[in-house]
Amino acid sequence: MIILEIAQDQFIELRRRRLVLVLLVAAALVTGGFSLSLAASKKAFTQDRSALVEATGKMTPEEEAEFEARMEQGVAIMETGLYAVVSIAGVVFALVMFCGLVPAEKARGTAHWVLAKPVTREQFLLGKWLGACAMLVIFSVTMSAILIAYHWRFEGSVSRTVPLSCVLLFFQAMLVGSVGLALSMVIPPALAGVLAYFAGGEMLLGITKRIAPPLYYLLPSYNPFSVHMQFLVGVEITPGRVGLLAAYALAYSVAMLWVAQLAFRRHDLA
Amino acid sequence: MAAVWTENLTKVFGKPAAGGVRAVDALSLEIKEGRAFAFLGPNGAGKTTTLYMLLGLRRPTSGRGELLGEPLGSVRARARIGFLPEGMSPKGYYTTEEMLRYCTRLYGLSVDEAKPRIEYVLSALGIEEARTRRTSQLSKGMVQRLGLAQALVADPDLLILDEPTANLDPVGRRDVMNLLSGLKAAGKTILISSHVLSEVESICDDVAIIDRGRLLRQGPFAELAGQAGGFEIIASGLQPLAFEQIAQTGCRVETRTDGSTIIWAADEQAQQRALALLLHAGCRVLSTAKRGATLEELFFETLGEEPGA
Repeated sequence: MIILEIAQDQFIELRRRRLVLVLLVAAALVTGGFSLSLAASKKAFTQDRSALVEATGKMTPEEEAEFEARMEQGVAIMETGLYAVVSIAGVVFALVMFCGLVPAEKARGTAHWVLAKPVTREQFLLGKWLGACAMLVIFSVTMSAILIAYHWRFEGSVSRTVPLSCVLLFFQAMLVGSVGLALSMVIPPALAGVLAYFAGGEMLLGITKRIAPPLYYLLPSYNPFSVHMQFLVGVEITPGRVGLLAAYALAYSVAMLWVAQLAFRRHDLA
Repeated sequence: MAAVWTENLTKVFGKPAAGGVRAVDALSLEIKEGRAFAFLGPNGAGKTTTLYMLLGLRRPTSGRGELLGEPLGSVRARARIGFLPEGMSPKGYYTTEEMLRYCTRLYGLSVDEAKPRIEYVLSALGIEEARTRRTSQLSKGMVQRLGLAQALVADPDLLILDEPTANLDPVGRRDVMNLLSGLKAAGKTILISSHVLSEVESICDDVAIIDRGRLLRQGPFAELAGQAGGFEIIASGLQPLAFEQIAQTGCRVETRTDGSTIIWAADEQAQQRALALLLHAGCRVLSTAKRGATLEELFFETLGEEPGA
């Protein structure tokens, strides 16, 4: 099947692209480093507590509750940071891949002989999108492995919210990447990446809600995918919520692919 | 039956109303099946844009046409076409063989169908030794051969080749032209856009010459060459003064290695003037003959330029 052939080719290309590999390794290192520093901080809290008990004698229940609350708050802030790092890394990773899918192939001139073969532009675009999604799966699996290893090693257990968070991260990156892909059909890839990043952000959504409500409903919404909110405001990540958001991301991505192919159909190869 | 025909095919870059650039202007072509067709023109004439419109890589502003009985750019037509773009750019992460295999998959060939075809093109283009080398490590000449290989790998009925001998050494050029002659003999239709007129002349049946997007001349080469031909006079004992006088009449005059002089006259009147000058100068006229134009002469004459000027 031609779509799968193009997807496989795209996956091989991305796998060999230095920037993509550097981003993947950098994201893994930062996430791993952040996890270790978070573990060290937790250990420091525990030591502080022991030292405090030793110095002052037994803690009163109020003092103990206050200490626990502070510790939980500190850990929550750091875990928020950890998941935010993974989330941003996923989005940047997706934008770098998706925004260059078609422009890079056009610039290199390889699209000329591929599209002169019995390959429709829709097949070409969908194949490339699938190839990039496959690479995104590799990214998500790598990040999941680091997060699971962290929770298992330093907390002794892995709650189901960890893999669910990783699934959510994948769909968020796919959604942002698809928006970037559609924009890259009409504007330069770098600008498409920046616009795609902000298109579904809180700030732009807030402005459009006030001045152009119809546009507000057309723009994507990235906020529900923010996995770090579970630590800040206690948004629970349940399978139902993940399923719903995955369906939203898929539907929006399909719409973006449709827009992208409409624009791509009108492209003249230089 | 026509393998390719176009009617008033036009491409305007930019907004036509705002004075966009008319790269191809009302181009009507017809290429019969089984013929080798030379598509010629100076740089910027609109050749590549025309080829891209045939393949659906660029959208025509207006006009219509068909490829192998299908609308321009249709997938069904492209399944029977091999295309070599100018400045072939392979996927650098594949080996030569992997890239050809990828191409066969895009044509929908099964593994069993693809294997003998890949072996054939690797051998026909002389790139068997490069089969396991990454395409990013190939020389320009090898990349060009690979480009031709990917165009031929699905055994297409119609070949569209943009500068097929670019970057090739003389041996490579000869091999490619021999290969194309063989394909023509096997009944393939070949559309070649090239600047190397002497090579194209050896295999082309029909010619179209365009300039600034407009078709200037189209037809069977033998017929056009006959129309554009002239008269040839070979003389000896030509003195420099007479040489100058004959050259001033508009004839082309060249001294040959054996010391004789060859004079080309565009028409019978010019021939008569040259003969009169030769006899007046006391030269010996060795022969006179009517002869057809070469493709290069036809090209220059069509463009209103002097060959070798």
